[in-house]
Amino acid sequence: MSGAGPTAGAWIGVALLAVAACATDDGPRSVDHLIPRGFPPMVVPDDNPSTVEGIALGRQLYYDQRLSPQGNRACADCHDQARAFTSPTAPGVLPHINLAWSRNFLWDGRFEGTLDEAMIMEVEEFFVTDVERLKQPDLEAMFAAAFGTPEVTTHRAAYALAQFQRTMVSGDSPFDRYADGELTALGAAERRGLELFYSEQGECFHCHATRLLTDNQFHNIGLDAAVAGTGRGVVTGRALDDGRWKTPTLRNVAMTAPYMHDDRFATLEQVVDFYSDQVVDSPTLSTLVPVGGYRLSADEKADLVAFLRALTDERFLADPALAPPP
Amino acid sequence: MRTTGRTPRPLALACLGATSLLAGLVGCGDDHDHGDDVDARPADAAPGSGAVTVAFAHRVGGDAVLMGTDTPYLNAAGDAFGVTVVRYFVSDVSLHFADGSRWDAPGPRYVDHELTATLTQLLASDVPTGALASVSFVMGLPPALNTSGRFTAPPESLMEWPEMMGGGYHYLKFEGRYLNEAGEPFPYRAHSGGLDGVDYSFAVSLDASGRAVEATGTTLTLVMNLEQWFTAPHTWDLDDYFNAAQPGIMRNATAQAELQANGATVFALGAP
Repeated sequence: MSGAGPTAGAWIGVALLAVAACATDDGPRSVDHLIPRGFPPMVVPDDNPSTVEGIALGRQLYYDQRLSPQGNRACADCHDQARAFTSPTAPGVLPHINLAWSRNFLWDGRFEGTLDEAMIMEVEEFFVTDVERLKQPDLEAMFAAAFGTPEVTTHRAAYALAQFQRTMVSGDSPFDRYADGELTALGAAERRGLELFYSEQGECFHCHATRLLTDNQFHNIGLDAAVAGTGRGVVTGRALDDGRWKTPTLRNVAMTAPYMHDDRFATLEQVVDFYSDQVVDSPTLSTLVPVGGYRLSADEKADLVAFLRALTDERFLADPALAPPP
Repeated sequence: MRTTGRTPRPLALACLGATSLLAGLVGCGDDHDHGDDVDARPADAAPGSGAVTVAFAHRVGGDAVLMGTDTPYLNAAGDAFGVTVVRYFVSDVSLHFADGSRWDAPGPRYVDHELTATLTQLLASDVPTGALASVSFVMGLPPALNTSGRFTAPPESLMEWPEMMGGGYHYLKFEGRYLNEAGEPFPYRAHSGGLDGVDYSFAVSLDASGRAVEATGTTLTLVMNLEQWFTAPHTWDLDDYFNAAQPGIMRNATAQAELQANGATVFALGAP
Protein backbone atom coordinates (compact mmCIF):
# COMPACT_ATOMS: atom_id res chain seq x y z
CA MET A 1 0.00 0.00 0.00
CA SER A 2 2.76 2.40 0.77
CA GLY A 3 3.95 1.92 -2.74
CA ALA A 4 0.85 3.43 -4.20
CA GLY A 5 1.21 7.00 -5.23
CA PRO A 6 -1.55 9.57 -5.05
CA THR A 7 -4.18 8.43 -7.45
CA ALA A 8 -7.16 10.56 -6.76
CA GLY A 9 -8.13 10.46 -10.35
CA ALA A 10 -7.53 6.77 -10.63
CA TRP A 11 -10.13 5.72 -8.14
CA ILE A 12 -12.89 4.46 -10.29
CA GLY A 13 -15.45 4.86 -7.64
CA VAL A 14 -16.94 2.49 -5.51
CA ALA A 15 -19.49 2.80 -7.60
CA LEU A 16 -21.19 0.08 -8.38
CA LEU A 17 -22.79 0.51 -11.64
CA ALA A 18 -22.47 2.36 -14.82
CA VAL A 19 -25.65 2.02 -16.70
CA ALA A 20 -24.92 1.46 -20.28
CA ALA A 21 -26.96 3.74 -22.46
CA CYS A 22 -27.95 1.03 -24.80
CA ALA A 23 -31.52 0.74 -23.84
CA THR A 24 -33.95 -0.37 -26.43
CA ASP A 25 -37.69 -0.40 -26.38
CA ASP A 26 -37.95 -4.12 -26.27
CA GLY A 27 -35.43 -5.50 -23.84
CA PRO A 28 -33.63 -5.08 -20.56
CA ARG A 29 -30.81 -2.59 -20.51
CA SER A 30 -27.35 -4.01 -19.87
CA VAL A 31 -25.21 -2.80 -17.01
CA ASP A 32 -21.47 -2.78 -16.53
CA HIS A 33 -20.20 -3.33 -13.02
CA LEU A 34 -17.44 -0.98 -12.03
CA ILE A 35 -15.40 -2.42 -9.24
CA PRO A 36 -13.10 -0.78 -6.73
CA ARG A 37 -9.45 -0.41 -7.47
CA GLY A 38 -7.46 -3.46 -6.45
CA PHE A 39 -10.41 -5.82 -6.46
CA PRO A 40 -10.34 -8.97 -8.55
CA PRO A 41 -12.34 -8.96 -11.76
CA MET A 42 -16.00 -9.74 -11.24
CA VAL A 43 -17.26 -12.77 -13.07
CA VAL A 44 -20.77 -12.26 -14.41
CA PRO A 45 -22.22 -15.48 -15.80
CA ASP A 46 -23.29 -15.48 -19.41
CA ASP A 47 -26.68 -16.85 -18.51
CA ASN A 48 -27.42 -14.06 -16.05
CA PRO A 49 -26.08 -10.78 -17.38
CA SER A 50 -26.72 -7.74 -15.25
CA THR A 51 -29.47 -5.44 -16.39
CA VAL A 52 -31.14 -2.37 -14.98
CA GLU A 53 -34.42 -4.21 -14.79
CA GLY A 54 -32.98 -7.40 -13.36
CA ILE A 55 -31.20 -5.50 -10.60
CA ALA A 56 -34.38 -3.58 -9.86
CA LEU A 57 -36.31 -6.82 -9.52
CA GLY A 58 -33.60 -8.30 -7.30
CA ARG A 59 -33.68 -5.24 -5.10
CA GLN A 60 -37.45 -5.46 -4.85
CA LEU A 61 -37.33 -9.13 -3.91
CA TYR A 62 -34.54 -8.56 -1.38
CA TYR A 63 -36.85 -6.29 0.55
CA ASP A 64 -40.13 -8.07 -0.26
CA GLN A 65 -41.67 -10.41 2.29
CA ARG A 66 -43.65 -12.11 -0.45
CA LEU A 67 -40.44 -14.08 -1.03
CA SER A 68 -41.43 -16.27 1.94
CA PRO A 69 -44.36 -18.68 1.73
CA GLN A 70 -46.10 -17.02 4.65
CA GLY A 71 -45.37 -13.55 3.30
CA ASN A 72 -43.69 -12.50 6.48
CA ARG A 73 -39.98 -12.61 5.86
CA ALA A 74 -37.56 -10.94 3.46
CA CYS A 75 -33.79 -11.06 3.03
CA ALA A 76 -33.53 -7.58 4.45
CA ASP A 77 -35.17 -8.62 7.70
CA CYS A 78 -31.87 -10.20 8.73
CA HIS A 79 -29.63 -8.11 6.49
CA ASP A 80 -29.86 -4.45 7.42
CA GLN A 81 -28.00 -2.02 5.18
CA ALA A 82 -27.08 0.22 8.09
CA ARG A 83 -25.34 -2.79 9.63
CA ALA A 84 -23.56 -3.75 6.44
CA PHE A 85 -26.38 -6.13 5.60
CA THR A 86 -26.14 -8.16 8.74
CA SER A 87 -28.16 -8.29 11.94
CA PRO A 88 -27.40 -7.58 15.59
CA THR A 89 -29.98 -10.10 16.72
CA ALA A 90 -30.41 -12.88 14.16
CA PRO A 91 -27.87 -15.60 14.98
CA GLY A 92 -24.78 -16.27 12.89
CA VAL A 93 -25.61 -13.89 10.07
CA LEU A 94 -22.74 -13.16 7.71
CA PRO A 95 -22.84 -9.77 6.03
CA HIS A 96 -23.87 -9.46 2.41
CA ILE A 97 -20.75 -7.72 1.23
CA ASN A 98 -18.85 -8.49 -1.96
CA LEU A 99 -20.45 -11.90 -2.31
CA ALA A 100 -19.89 -11.70 -6.05
CA TRP A 101 -16.37 -12.92 -5.32
CA SER A 102 -17.34 -15.79 -3.05
CA ARG A 103 -17.62 -19.38 -4.13
CA ASN A 104 -18.68 -20.79 -0.79
CA PHE A 105 -21.37 -19.51 1.52
CA LEU A 106 -22.33 -19.65 5.19
CA TRP A 107 -19.92 -20.09 8.08
CA ASP A 108 -19.15 -23.73 7.35
CA GLY A 109 -19.28 -23.33 3.59
CA ARG A 110 -22.05 -25.86 3.34
CA PHE A 111 -23.07 -24.34 0.06
CA GLU A 112 -20.46 -24.18 -2.67
CA GLY A 113 -21.07 -22.71 -6.08
CA THR A 114 -21.63 -19.44 -7.82
CA LEU A 115 -23.58 -16.57 -6.36
CA ASP A 116 -26.39 -17.37 -8.76
CA GLU A 117 -26.49 -20.96 -7.55
CA ALA A 118 -26.39 -19.76 -3.97
CA MET A 119 -29.39 -17.55 -4.60
CA ILE A 120 -31.28 -20.50 -6.09
CA MET A 121 -30.57 -22.34 -2.86
CA GLU A 122 -31.75 -19.36 -0.84
CA VAL A 123 -34.99 -19.04 -2.75
CA GLU A 124 -35.84 -22.70 -3.14
CA GLU A 125 -34.42 -24.21 0.05
CA PHE A 126 -34.10 -21.44 2.63
CA PHE A 127 -37.19 -19.39 1.84
CA VAL A 128 -39.01 -22.20 0.01
CA THR A 129 -40.61 -19.47 -2.02
CA ASP A 130 -44.13 -20.04 -3.30
CA VAL A 131 -44.14 -18.63 -6.81
CA GLU A 132 -47.91 -18.19 -6.66
CA ARG A 133 -47.35 -15.55 -4.01
CA LEU A 134 -45.07 -13.68 -6.43
CA LYS A 135 -47.61 -13.74 -9.25
CA GLN A 136 -49.00 -10.32 -8.61
CA PRO A 137 -49.23 -7.56 -11.16
CA ASP A 138 -46.48 -5.38 -9.79
CA LEU A 139 -43.96 -8.20 -9.65
CA GLU A 140 -45.09 -9.78 -12.91
CA ALA A 141 -44.39 -6.50 -14.62
CA MET A 142 -40.93 -6.42 -13.11
CA PHE A 143 -40.23 -10.03 -14.13
CA ALA A 144 -41.33 -9.17 -17.65
CA ALA A 145 -39.10 -6.15 -17.75
CA ALA A 146 -36.15 -8.12 -16.39
CA PHE A 147 -36.45 -11.28 -18.42
CA GLY A 148 -38.53 -10.35 -21.41
CA THR A 149 -41.61 -12.37 -20.50
CA PRO A 150 -43.82 -12.19 -17.41
CA GLU A 151 -43.16 -15.77 -16.39
CA VAL A 152 -42.49 -15.94 -12.64
CA THR A 153 -40.18 -18.72 -11.49
CA THR A 154 -38.02 -19.31 -8.45
CA HIS A 155 -35.06 -19.56 -10.80
CA ARG A 156 -35.73 -16.10 -12.19
CA ALA A 157 -36.23 -14.72 -8.71
CA ALA A 158 -32.89 -16.15 -7.65
CA TYR A 159 -31.11 -14.78 -10.69
CA ALA A 160 -32.55 -11.33 -10.05
CA LEU A 161 -31.35 -11.52 -6.45
CA ALA A 162 -27.90 -12.50 -7.69
CA GLN A 163 -27.88 -9.49 -10.00
CA PHE A 164 -28.72 -7.24 -7.08
CA GLN A 165 -26.11 -8.91 -4.88
CA ARG A 166 -23.50 -8.15 -7.51
CA THR A 167 -24.18 -4.48 -6.90
CA MET A 168 -23.55 -4.84 -3.15
CA VAL A 169 -19.90 -3.95 -3.47
CA SER A 170 -18.03 -2.28 -0.66
CA GLY A 171 -14.59 -0.86 -1.32
CA ASP A 172 -14.56 2.80 -0.35
CA SER A 173 -13.34 2.97 3.21
CA PRO A 174 -10.66 5.27 4.63
CA PHE A 175 -8.33 2.27 4.33
CA ASP A 176 -9.00 2.11 0.59
CA ARG A 177 -8.43 5.80 0.12
CA TYR A 178 -5.16 5.54 2.04
CA ALA A 179 -4.10 2.51 0.02
CA ASP A 180 -4.80 4.44 -3.14
CA GLY A 181 -2.59 7.30 -2.11
CA GLU A 182 -4.71 9.62 0.00
CA LEU A 183 -2.27 9.59 2.88
CA THR A 184 -4.42 11.71 5.17
CA ALA A 185 -7.27 9.23 5.00
CA LEU A 186 -5.96 7.41 8.06
CA GLY A 187 -5.00 8.96 11.38
CA ALA A 188 -1.92 8.04 13.37
CA ALA A 189 -3.54 5.28 15.41
CA GLU A 190 -5.18 3.84 12.32
CA ARG A 191 -1.86 3.80 10.50
CA ARG A 192 -0.19 2.04 13.41
CA GLY A 193 -3.06 -0.43 13.35
CA LEU A 194 -2.58 -0.96 9.64
CA GLU A 195 1.11 -1.70 10.20
CA LEU A 196 0.15 -4.24 12.84
CA PHE A 197 -2.53 -5.74 10.61
CA TYR A 198 0.02 -6.37 7.87
CA SER A 199 2.71 -7.70 10.18
CA GLU A 200 3.29 -11.12 11.65
CA GLN A 201 2.92 -9.61 15.11
CA GLY A 202 -0.72 -8.90 14.37
CA GLU A 203 -1.06 -11.63 11.77
CA CYS A 204 -4.36 -10.59 10.26
CA PHE A 205 -3.48 -10.37 6.60
CA HIS A 206 -2.82 -13.99 5.76
CA CYS A 207 -6.51 -14.84 6.24
CA HIS A 208 -8.11 -11.43 5.77
CA ALA A 209 -6.33 -11.31 2.46
CA THR A 210 -6.45 -9.25 -0.70
CA ARG A 211 -8.55 -6.13 -1.02
CA LEU A 212 -11.59 -8.27 -0.27
CA LEU A 213 -10.13 -8.71 3.23
CA THR A 214 -11.01 -12.38 3.22
CA ASP A 215 -9.45 -15.46 1.71
CA ASN A 216 -12.91 -17.09 1.56
CA GLN A 217 -11.32 -20.13 3.18
CA PHE A 218 -11.75 -21.93 6.48
CA HIS A 219 -9.59 -21.76 9.59
CA ASN A 220 -9.56 -22.87 13.19
CA ILE A 221 -8.48 -19.74 15.03
CA GLY A 222 -8.48 -21.26 18.50
CA LEU A 223 -11.87 -20.35 19.87
CA ASP A 224 -12.49 -23.74 21.48
CA ALA A 225 -10.49 -26.71 22.71
CA ALA A 226 -13.15 -29.21 21.68
CA VAL A 227 -13.63 -28.98 17.94
CA ALA A 228 -14.66 -32.49 16.90
CA GLY A 229 -17.78 -32.42 14.82
CA THR A 230 -17.86 -28.67 14.38
CA GLY A 231 -17.31 -26.20 11.59
CA ARG A 232 -16.17 -27.14 8.14
CA GLY A 233 -15.61 -30.71 9.28
CA VAL A 234 -19.35 -31.25 9.46
CA VAL A 235 -19.56 -30.49 5.75
CA THR A 236 -16.51 -32.36 4.52
CA GLY A 237 -16.51 -35.22 7.01
CA ARG A 238 -12.77 -34.73 7.44
CA ALA A 239 -11.40 -34.45 10.95
CA LEU A 240 -8.78 -31.98 9.78
CA ASP A 241 -11.58 -29.53 9.00
CA ASP A 242 -13.10 -29.69 12.47
CA GLY A 243 -13.30 -26.30 14.11
CA ARG A 244 -12.61 -24.45 10.90
CA TRP A 245 -14.98 -21.64 10.01
CA LYS A 246 -15.12 -19.30 7.06
CA THR A 247 -13.03 -16.16 7.17
CA PRO A 248 -15.50 -13.26 7.11
CA THR A 249 -14.59 -10.11 5.27
CA LEU A 250 -13.49 -7.33 7.59
CA ARG A 251 -15.07 -4.67 5.44
CA ASN A 252 -17.47 -2.66 7.59
CA VAL A 253 -16.57 -4.92 10.49
CA ALA A 254 -17.34 -2.16 12.99
CA MET A 255 -20.96 -2.44 11.87
CA THR A 256 -21.35 -6.21 11.95
CA ALA A 257 -21.36 -7.10 15.65
CA PRO A 258 -21.72 -9.59 17.18
CA TYR A 259 -18.69 -11.54 16.01
CA MET A 260 -17.64 -15.12 15.25
CA HIS A 261 -19.82 -17.94 13.97
CA ASP A 262 -21.66 -18.15 17.26
CA ASP A 263 -21.82 -14.43 17.97
CA ARG A 264 -19.79 -14.88 21.13
CA PHE A 265 -18.11 -11.50 21.05
CA ALA A 266 -20.12 -8.31 21.27
CA THR A 267 -17.38 -5.80 20.47
CA LEU A 268 -14.27 -5.46 18.38
CA GLU A 269 -12.32 -4.96 21.59
CA GLN A 270 -13.40 -8.41 22.74
CA VAL A 271 -12.35 -9.88 19.42
CA VAL A 272 -8.90 -8.35 19.64
CA ASP A 273 -8.59 -9.44 23.27
CA PHE A 274 -9.34 -12.97 22.13
CA TYR A 275 -6.65 -12.95 19.45
CA SER A 276 -4.20 -11.40 21.86
CA ASP A 277 -4.70 -13.49 24.96
CA GLN A 278 -7.30 -16.25 24.68
CA VAL A 279 -6.37 -18.58 21.80
CA VAL A 280 -6.71 -22.19 22.90
CA ASP A 281 -5.11 -25.27 21.40
CA SER A 282 -6.92 -27.99 19.50
CA PRO A 283 -5.95 -30.63 16.95
CA THR A 284 -6.69 -28.43 13.96
CA LEU A 285 -5.52 -25.06 15.24
CA SER A 286 -4.18 -22.92 12.41
CA THR A 287 -0.44 -22.48 12.38
CA LEU A 288 -1.08 -18.81 11.84
CA VAL A 289 -2.25 -18.59 15.44
CA PRO A 290 -0.05 -19.22 18.47
CA VAL A 291 -1.54 -20.95 21.45
CA GLY A 292 -2.32 -18.24 23.96
CA GLY A 293 -2.49 -15.50 21.39
CA TYR A 294 -0.44 -12.75 19.81
CA ARG A 295 0.24 -11.01 23.13
CA LEU A 296 -0.54 -7.50 22.01
CA SER A 297 -0.06 -4.53 24.28
CA ALA A 298 -2.96 -2.34 25.28
CA ASP A 299 -1.76 0.32 22.85
CA GLU A 300 -1.46 -2.20 20.03
CA LYS A 301 -4.95 -3.47 20.69
CA ALA A 302 -6.32 0.06 20.57
CA ASP A 303 -4.47 0.77 17.33
CA LEU A 304 -5.76 -2.40 15.74
CA VAL A 305 -9.33 -1.58 16.69
CA ALA A 306 -8.86 1.92 15.30
CA PHE A 307 -7.73 0.44 12.01
CA LEU A 308 -10.65 -1.99 11.92
CA ARG A 309 -13.01 0.92 12.34
CA ALA A 310 -11.32 2.54 9.34
CA LEU A 311 -12.68 -0.27 7.19
CA THR A 312 -16.14 1.24 7.34
CA ASP A 313 -17.50 2.26 3.96
CA GLU A 314 -20.03 4.97 4.71
CA ARG A 315 -21.04 5.26 1.10
CA PHE A 316 -21.98 1.59 1.00
CA LEU A 317 -23.97 1.83 4.21
CA ALA A 318 -26.00 4.72 2.87
CA ASP A 319 -26.07 3.98 -0.84
CA PRO A 320 -29.63 4.73 -1.95
CA ALA A 321 -29.31 2.18 -4.75
CA LEU A 322 -29.06 -0.52 -2.11
CA ALA A 323 -31.81 0.82 0.11
CA PRO A 324 -35.42 -0.38 0.09
CA PRO A 325 -37.05 0.45 -3.23
CA PRO A 326 -39.33 3.43 -3.24
CA MET B 1 19.07 -34.20 -33.23
CA ARG B 2 17.85 -30.67 -32.92
CA THR B 3 14.19 -30.03 -33.52
CA THR B 4 12.30 -26.80 -33.98
CA GLY B 5 10.54 -27.40 -30.70
CA ARG B 6 13.62 -26.75 -28.62
CA THR B 7 15.61 -24.16 -30.39
CA PRO B 8 17.87 -22.56 -27.82
CA ARG B 9 16.97 -19.00 -27.01
CA PRO B 10 17.89 -16.53 -24.30
CA LEU B 11 16.02 -17.30 -21.13
CA ALA B 12 15.41 -13.63 -20.46
CA LEU B 13 13.69 -13.27 -23.78
CA ALA B 14 11.58 -16.29 -23.03
CA CYS B 15 10.52 -14.77 -19.74
CA LEU B 16 9.59 -11.48 -21.32
CA GLY B 17 7.57 -13.28 -23.90
CA ALA B 18 5.73 -15.16 -21.24
CA THR B 19 5.08 -12.04 -19.26
CA SER B 20 3.62 -10.07 -22.07
CA LEU B 21 1.71 -12.76 -23.84
CA LEU B 22 0.51 -14.88 -21.05
CA ALA B 23 -0.28 -12.52 -18.22
CA GLY B 24 -3.49 -13.63 -16.66
CA LEU B 25 -3.35 -17.07 -18.12
CA VAL B 26 -0.87 -18.60 -15.75
CA GLY B 27 -2.16 -21.03 -13.25
CA CYS B 28 -1.84 -24.46 -11.90
CA GLY B 29 -2.00 -27.31 -14.24
CA ASP B 30 -2.88 -25.54 -17.42
CA ASP B 31 -0.86 -25.75 -20.54
CA HIS B 32 -1.17 -22.18 -21.67
CA ASP B 33 2.18 -21.07 -20.41
CA HIS B 34 4.56 -23.48 -22.00
CA GLY B 35 7.01 -22.41 -24.55
CA ASP B 36 7.53 -22.59 -28.23
CA ASP B 37 4.08 -21.95 -29.59
CA VAL B 38 2.71 -25.28 -28.59
CA ASP B 39 -0.88 -25.52 -27.55
CA ALA B 40 -1.68 -29.17 -27.71
CA ARG B 41 -0.27 -32.19 -29.34
CA PRO B 42 -2.14 -32.71 -32.58
CA ALA B 43 -3.46 -36.13 -33.38
CA ASP B 44 -0.93 -36.50 -36.13
CA ALA B 45 1.98 -35.11 -34.12
CA ALA B 46 5.37 -36.19 -35.25
CA PRO B 47 6.80 -39.10 -33.31
CA GLY B 48 9.67 -36.88 -32.25
CA SER B 49 7.75 -35.31 -29.43
CA GLY B 50 5.99 -36.34 -26.26
CA ALA B 51 4.14 -34.99 -23.28
CA VAL B 52 6.13 -33.92 -20.24
CA THR B 53 4.48 -33.69 -16.86
CA VAL B 54 6.01 -32.42 -13.65
CA ALA B 55 4.88 -34.09 -10.46
CA PHE B 56 5.58 -32.26 -7.22
CA ALA B 57 6.40 -34.36 -4.16
CA HIS B 58 7.04 -33.19 -0.62
CA ARG B 59 9.12 -35.32 1.70
CA VAL B 60 10.71 -35.31 5.10
CA GLY B 61 13.63 -37.63 5.69
CA GLY B 62 13.00 -39.25 2.36
CA ASP B 63 9.39 -40.18 3.08
CA ALA B 64 6.20 -38.52 1.90
CA VAL B 65 5.27 -35.83 4.39
CA LEU B 66 2.39 -36.51 6.75
CA MET B 67 0.53 -33.27 7.32
CA GLY B 68 -0.83 -32.30 10.70
CA THR B 69 -0.36 -30.32 13.87
CA ASP B 70 1.62 -33.13 15.54
CA THR B 71 5.41 -32.87 15.62
CA PRO B 72 6.71 -36.21 14.34
CA TYR B 73 9.91 -35.01 12.65
CA LEU B 74 13.30 -33.80 13.84
CA ASN B 75 15.27 -31.08 12.13
CA ALA B 76 19.04 -30.78 12.09
CA ALA B 77 19.00 -28.67 15.24
CA GLY B 78 16.98 -31.29 17.08
CA ASP B 79 13.64 -29.49 17.02
CA ALA B 80 10.61 -31.74 16.80
CA PHE B 81 8.36 -30.36 14.09
CA GLY B 82 5.36 -31.13 11.93
CA VAL B 83 4.01 -29.75 8.69
CA THR B 84 0.61 -28.20 8.01
CA VAL B 85 1.12 -26.07 4.91
CA VAL B 86 3.34 -26.37 1.83
CA ARG B 87 2.60 -23.81 -0.86
CA TYR B 88 5.00 -22.24 -3.32
CA PHE B 89 5.73 -21.01 -6.78
CA VAL B 90 8.25 -22.40 -9.20
CA SER B 91 8.90 -20.46 -12.37
CA ASP B 92 10.51 -20.76 -15.75
CA VAL B 93 11.04 -24.49 -15.94
CA SER B 94 13.58 -25.43 -18.59
CA LEU B 95 14.66 -28.80 -19.91
CA HIS B 96 18.30 -28.97 -20.95
CA PHE B 97 19.06 -31.69 -23.44
CA ALA B 98 22.21 -33.70 -23.74
CA ASP B 99 22.78 -32.24 -27.20
CA GLY B 100 23.07 -28.76 -25.72
CA SER B 101 19.66 -27.47 -26.69
CA ARG B 102 17.01 -26.25 -24.31
CA TRP B 103 13.23 -26.27 -24.13
CA ASP B 104 11.53 -23.64 -22.00
CA ALA B 105 8.24 -23.58 -20.14
CA PRO B 106 8.25 -19.97 -19.00
CA GLY B 107 5.99 -18.50 -16.38
CA PRO B 108 4.99 -19.28 -12.82
CA ARG B 109 3.46 -22.46 -11.49
CA TYR B 110 1.68 -22.66 -8.19
CA VAL B 111 1.92 -25.74 -6.01
CA ASP B 112 -0.12 -26.52 -2.90
CA HIS B 113 0.27 -29.84 -1.15
CA GLU B 114 -3.42 -29.75 -0.26
CA LEU B 115 -4.60 -29.07 -3.81
CA THR B 116 -4.19 -32.27 -5.74
CA ALA B 117 -4.66 -30.52 -9.07
CA THR B 118 -1.48 -28.54 -8.50
CA LEU B 119 0.67 -31.57 -7.77
CA THR B 120 0.78 -32.82 -11.33
CA GLN B 121 1.23 -30.20 -14.01
CA LEU B 122 1.60 -30.69 -17.72
CA LEU B 123 4.50 -28.73 -19.15
CA ALA B 124 3.46 -29.40 -22.72
CA SER B 125 2.04 -32.14 -24.86
CA ASP B 126 4.71 -32.11 -27.51
CA VAL B 127 8.10 -31.52 -26.07
CA PRO B 128 10.79 -32.76 -28.43
CA THR B 129 12.15 -36.12 -27.48
CA GLY B 130 15.73 -36.69 -26.51
CA ALA B 131 18.16 -37.41 -23.72
CA LEU B 132 18.16 -34.89 -20.90
CA ALA B 133 21.11 -33.37 -19.14
CA SER B 134 19.37 -31.27 -16.49
CA VAL B 135 16.21 -29.55 -15.40
CA SER B 136 16.26 -25.99 -14.18
CA PHE B 137 13.73 -23.62 -12.68
CA VAL B 138 13.39 -20.69 -10.36
CA MET B 139 12.18 -21.31 -6.82
CA GLY B 140 9.70 -18.49 -6.28
CA LEU B 141 8.99 -15.70 -8.69
CA PRO B 142 11.77 -13.82 -10.43
CA PRO B 143 11.34 -10.04 -10.22
CA ALA B 144 9.78 -9.79 -13.66
CA LEU B 145 6.98 -12.09 -12.52
CA ASN B 146 6.70 -10.87 -8.94
CA THR B 147 4.44 -7.92 -9.52
CA SER B 148 1.46 -7.09 -7.35
CA GLY B 149 -1.83 -7.74 -9.07
CA ARG B 150 -0.47 -10.41 -11.39
CA PHE B 151 -2.77 -12.99 -9.85
CA THR B 152 -6.35 -11.89 -9.44
CA ALA B 153 -7.93 -15.16 -8.40
CA PRO B 154 -7.28 -17.64 -5.63
CA PRO B 155 -5.35 -19.71 -4.84
CA GLU B 156 -2.46 -17.79 -6.37
CA SER B 157 -3.80 -14.39 -5.28
CA LEU B 158 -3.77 -15.54 -1.66
CA MET B 159 0.01 -15.73 -1.85
CA GLU B 160 0.15 -11.93 -1.86
CA TRP B 161 3.03 -10.33 0.03
CA PRO B 162 2.15 -7.08 1.83
CA GLU B 163 2.90 -3.92 -0.10
CA MET B 164 4.59 -2.44 2.94
CA MET B 165 7.11 -5.28 2.75
CA GLY B 166 7.68 -4.75 -0.92
CA GLY B 167 4.61 -6.26 -2.52
CA GLY B 168 4.36 -9.13 -4.93
CA TYR B 169 3.78 -12.62 -3.64
CA HIS B 170 5.04 -15.17 -1.18
CA TYR B 171 7.45 -17.53 -2.87
CA LEU B 172 7.00 -20.11 -0.17
CA LYS B 173 4.61 -20.84 2.66
CA PHE B 174 6.01 -23.73 4.66
CA GLU B 175 4.23 -23.96 8.00
CA GLY B 176 3.72 -26.25 10.90
CA ARG B 177 4.32 -26.50 14.60
CA TYR B 178 7.46 -27.32 16.52
CA LEU B 179 8.18 -27.98 20.16
CA ASN B 180 9.91 -24.94 21.56
CA GLU B 181 12.47 -24.80 24.35
CA ALA B 182 9.68 -25.05 26.87
CA GLY B 183 8.45 -28.19 25.17
CA GLU B 184 5.29 -26.48 24.01
CA PRO B 185 3.96 -26.51 20.46
CA PHE B 186 4.57 -23.21 18.71
CA PRO B 187 3.83 -22.35 15.10
CA TYR B 188 6.60 -21.79 12.60
CA ARG B 189 5.95 -20.04 9.31
CA ALA B 190 8.82 -20.26 6.88
CA HIS B 191 7.48 -17.68 4.48
CA SER B 192 9.79 -16.31 1.82
CA GLY B 193 9.36 -13.54 -0.70
CA GLY B 194 10.95 -10.40 -2.02
CA LEU B 195 11.53 -8.09 0.92
CA ASP B 196 11.85 -4.35 0.49
CA GLY B 197 13.08 -4.63 -3.06
CA VAL B 198 15.51 -7.49 -2.44
CA ASP B 199 14.68 -10.63 -4.39
CA TYR B 200 15.14 -13.94 -2.61
CA SER B 201 14.05 -16.25 -5.38
CA PHE B 202 16.80 -18.52 -6.60
CA ALA B 203 17.72 -20.68 -9.54
CA VAL B 204 17.79 -24.45 -9.18
CA SER B 205 19.45 -26.87 -11.57
CA LEU B 206 19.05 -30.60 -11.11
CA ASP B 207 21.06 -33.31 -12.85
CA ALA B 208 18.81 -35.24 -15.20
CA SER B 209 21.40 -37.38 -16.94
CA GLY B 210 20.08 -40.81 -17.71
CA ARG B 211 16.57 -39.47 -18.28
CA ALA B 212 14.93 -38.57 -21.53
CA VAL B 213 11.82 -37.07 -22.97
CA GLU B 214 10.01 -40.03 -24.47
CA ALA B 215 7.43 -40.01 -27.23
CA THR B 216 5.21 -42.09 -24.98
CA GLY B 217 5.21 -39.43 -22.29
CA THR B 218 7.50 -38.45 -19.48
CA THR B 219 6.95 -37.54 -15.86
CA LEU B 220 9.61 -35.68 -13.94
CA THR B 221 9.10 -35.76 -10.19
CA LEU B 222 10.33 -32.63 -8.49
CA VAL B 223 10.97 -33.46 -4.86
CA MET B 224 11.05 -30.81 -2.13
CA ASN B 225 12.88 -32.25 0.86
CA LEU B 226 11.26 -30.09 3.49
CA GLU B 227 13.70 -30.57 6.35
CA GLN B 228 16.45 -29.17 4.15
CA TRP B 229 15.00 -25.69 4.48
CA PHE B 230 16.29 -25.82 8.07
CA THR B 231 19.53 -27.74 7.53
CA ALA B 232 22.51 -26.22 5.77
CA PRO B 233 24.45 -24.06 5.50
CA HIS B 234 22.26 -22.38 8.14
CA THR B 235 21.05 -24.85 10.72
CA TRP B 236 17.89 -23.40 12.15
CA ASP B 237 16.99 -23.79 15.78
CA LEU B 238 13.38 -22.82 15.28
CA ASP B 239 13.25 -21.10 18.68
CA ASP B 240 15.57 -18.47 17.25
CA TYR B 241 13.25 -17.63 14.39
CA PHE B 242 9.74 -18.25 15.64
CA ASN B 243 8.90 -17.16 19.15
CA ALA B 244 6.49 -14.95 21.01
CA ALA B 245 8.59 -11.85 20.42
CA GLN B 246 9.19 -12.58 16.74
CA PRO B 247 6.52 -14.93 15.46
CA GLY B 248 7.57 -14.82 11.80
CA ILE B 249 10.39 -14.08 9.41
CA MET B 250 8.75 -12.11 6.65
CA ARG B 251 10.37 -8.93 7.93
CA ASN B 252 13.68 -10.68 8.68
CA ALA B 253 16.12 -10.10 5.81
CA THR B 254 18.73 -12.35 7.39
CA ALA B 255 16.27 -15.21 7.64
CA GLN B 256 15.16 -14.63 4.06
CA ALA B 257 18.74 -14.85 2.86
CA GLU B 258 19.33 -17.97 4.93
CA LEU B 259 16.26 -19.70 3.53
CA GLN B 260 17.48 -18.80 0.07
CA ALA B 261 20.86 -20.33 0.81
CA ASN B 262 19.40 -23.43 2.42
CA GLY B 263 17.22 -23.87 -0.63
CA ALA B 264 20.23 -25.06 -2.59
CA THR B 265 19.82 -28.56 -1.16
CA VAL B 266 16.05 -28.68 -0.90
CA PHE B 267 15.18 -29.99 -4.35
CA ALA B 268 15.93 -33.23 -6.10
CA LEU B 269 14.57 -35.17 -9.03
CA GLY B 270 12.67 -38.24 -7.96
CA ALA B 271 13.47 -41.68 -9.29
CA PRO B 272 12.40 -42.19 -12.91
